[in-house]
Amino acid sequence: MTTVDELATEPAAPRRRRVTSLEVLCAVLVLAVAVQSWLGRVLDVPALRTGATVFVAICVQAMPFLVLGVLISGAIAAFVPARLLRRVLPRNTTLAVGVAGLAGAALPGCECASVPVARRLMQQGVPPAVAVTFLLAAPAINPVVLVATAVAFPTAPRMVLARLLASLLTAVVMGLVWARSGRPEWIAERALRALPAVRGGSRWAVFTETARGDLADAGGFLVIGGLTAATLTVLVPASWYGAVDRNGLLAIPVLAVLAVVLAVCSEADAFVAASLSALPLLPRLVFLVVGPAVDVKLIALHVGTFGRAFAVRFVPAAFVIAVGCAVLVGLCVFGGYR
Amino acid sequence: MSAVRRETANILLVLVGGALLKITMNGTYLRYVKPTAKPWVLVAGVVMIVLAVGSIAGDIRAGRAGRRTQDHEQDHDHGHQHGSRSVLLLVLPVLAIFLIAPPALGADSVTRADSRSAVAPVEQASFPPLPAGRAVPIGLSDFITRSVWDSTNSLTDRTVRLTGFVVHDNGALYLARLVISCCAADATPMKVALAGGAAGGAADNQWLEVTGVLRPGSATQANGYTPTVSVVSVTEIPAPADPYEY
Repeated sequence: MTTVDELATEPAAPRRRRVTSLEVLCAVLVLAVAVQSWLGRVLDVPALRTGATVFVAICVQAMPFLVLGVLISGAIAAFVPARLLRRVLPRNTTLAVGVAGLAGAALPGCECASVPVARRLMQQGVPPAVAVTFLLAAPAINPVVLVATAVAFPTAPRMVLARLLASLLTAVVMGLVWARSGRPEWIAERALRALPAVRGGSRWAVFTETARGDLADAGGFLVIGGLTAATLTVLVPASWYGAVDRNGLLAIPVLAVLAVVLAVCSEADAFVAASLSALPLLPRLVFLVVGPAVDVKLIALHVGTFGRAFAVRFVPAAFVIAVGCAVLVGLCVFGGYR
Repeated sequence: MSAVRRETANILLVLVGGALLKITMNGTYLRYVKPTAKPWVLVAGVVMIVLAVGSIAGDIRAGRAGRRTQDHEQDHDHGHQHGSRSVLLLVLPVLAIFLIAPPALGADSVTRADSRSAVAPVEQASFPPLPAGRAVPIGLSDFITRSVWDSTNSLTDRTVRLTGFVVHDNGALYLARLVISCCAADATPMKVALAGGAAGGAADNQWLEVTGVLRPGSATQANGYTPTVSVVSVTEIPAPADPYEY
């Protein structure tokens, strides 16, 4: 309801703010250039340097995937009519959730790419439960990620199977839960607002404008996620790793939380998991299943794209379901806690 | 929700795209991501600039032609609505890259990681023999893996040449290198202890080329599989362009 009010007051607002954000930007840039050498000295602390490098690394590494995601999102908005999507997807939501889970295998990117795509699918009339399933499945079970997992675990090929099954199960269970108890009003109105109908000949304009808008939207939240992950990378004490070595079952919750705070890209997380070689396979599977579903970088993107009301419900649910599915599948595939 | 002007968002996208192009052109992208990411980062930078410049050009054309119909105006308002203040945060990576240009990860990351070890058990415990010759160059991760798991003892009595940077930790001296699989956020340290005093004077993060011989049995589970090298000679070298192993 507040959104309607905002809409009503909006037309007057831009005039007044017209100069402000540009001015802010210019002021920030000039100021930064002016204090550059001072800034260099202040940042010359090992921990800050490490944090700055990790922050830039996350941004540089994630941008190509975000760009891929917004281009696909733009293409869906411009070239895939909503009625085509409705025709392709099964009418039965349960079936559609299954289809969306398997369709996730077709997007060879990491989690940053799937957020704008899932949002665009919702906007084109795909039920939120189905889009949520795709959101969880795409970064976890695509061929690039599975091959990376196989390379990282040469001695435990079952890890690939376990990851595929556990992530697919997580996505489908989350989709079914959302279909049963999700409410449309949890998703921010701006995420679902339909674009103006495509007028003849302007498909290209819709494509570029959607991609540009999504990029500007998600980019800032990616920065928040990168900052958070970089800060936590520096702050998480190394003794955590030592503690899990000594306490068997504690490894599961600790690695689940580590997956959230480290925010390693789903194409690289298998190598991080492989490096924790003192641990059994099962907690490392938990790390691989939770990471692509929930991490600080994704939480920032979720809040920005779908709104806070969505993130507050989606994030804890996805976390619990991911841990549960990983433990269950791990016990079956590895034949116990090992 | 406070709106951000379209033009501001476009300028920021151009700046971010420019920053991505800059680091791929001057090679500093190797401090942050693996070499194979280069074309992707380049394409991402170009796409960002094209999208933003195209949008700026379209706005200017529309403005000049003065035929912004009510319909168009509405579209633009949507843009405003979407453009939450968060887009301004894109200035942070821009400033970080253009002004600070953070260095590659170094000694701080190694001491921070403490007991984390990237040496995964290898199933076939036999390795291809080292090439013949004196002071064979070998990567730190290859060297450590062999020192722990190689049943054929290919390192025994062989002088090898290792490249890495200096780390002082708990009174001991190490030669270290970080291994990344995607970007610097997933870096895992590799380190060997240096024995023999020849490198004692070097400061943290100084890059060295060390020739030396493995002390057999020095890499144990108790010390986190950190082998010790008896140093023969040490040469200080400038930091390499690609600071990580992959």
